[in-house]
Amino acid sequence: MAQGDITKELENDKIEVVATWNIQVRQATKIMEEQADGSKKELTRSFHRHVLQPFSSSKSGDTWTHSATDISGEDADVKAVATAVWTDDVKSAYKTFRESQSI
Amino acid sequence: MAISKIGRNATDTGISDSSDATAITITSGEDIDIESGDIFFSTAGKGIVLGATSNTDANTLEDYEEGTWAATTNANLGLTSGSNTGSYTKIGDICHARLYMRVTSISGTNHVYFSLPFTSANNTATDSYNAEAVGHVAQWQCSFGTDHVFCKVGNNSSTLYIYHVGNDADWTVETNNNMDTASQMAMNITYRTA
Repeated sequence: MAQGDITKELENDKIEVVATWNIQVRQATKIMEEQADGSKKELTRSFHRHVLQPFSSSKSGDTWTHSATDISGEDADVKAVATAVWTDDVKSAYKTFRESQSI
Repeated sequence: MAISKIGRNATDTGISDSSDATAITITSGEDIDIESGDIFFSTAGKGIVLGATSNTDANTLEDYEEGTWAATTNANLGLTSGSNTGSYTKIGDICHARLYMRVTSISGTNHVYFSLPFTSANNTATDSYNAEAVGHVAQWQCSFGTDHVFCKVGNNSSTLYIYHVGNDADWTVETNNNMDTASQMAMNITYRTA
């Protein structure tokens, strides 16, 4: 690396737990420029988001099906939050809430 | 950058940085002029009070964000690579999201839905039929006849469902068998976030 080199960095700069079970993930794409002292100066930052819930829920007739959300492809920091937040009680509460909602 | 100097000319007072460039000017008309750069807060959740003469939460704009999100859908609905990427603008607690997608593979009778970039508010003052948002959807190559197509997200949810409704008829959630591999969809939605 040399002064003036441009690099791209990805960082989950915001992971929020909203209303008990929703995990909102904001990934920042940062374009960095190396400075004379070896440090990096951020030139631009853009955001990409997704929201995770413990289940993907669907209804057929009067029957609900709740498929556990696959978090195997998530980054470690997101997995850690999901594991901590989605307790059995929270999962049960999510199912109850979803089934109380109309589609 | 630390403030290094506060100076005054014939009419205005300027606050300069260490490079002696004027960063902020207070004009003779008592307006504040940010000469260069932006305004930001080092503490999360702080904002600018608009439309009130005292610090009032309901008048405070504390969030603005532009970005993209990857909209996910049911397991039997395949989308053209990249066409599931929407864009959003969030102002305060209102999110406006735009999405265009093309179907490449489809099967089953799953409900058609898409994930959203933010969780909707949990509006407990209304029943579950009162959506947090209703948005506009344009569709091509979909089998609804003359039905009107719309979308909505319910309380405390990041899932946007697509519906169709005819004259004097109940609304019906769209399923995969309402579309085929040539189907396309464009939508705009504005909703209140949690």
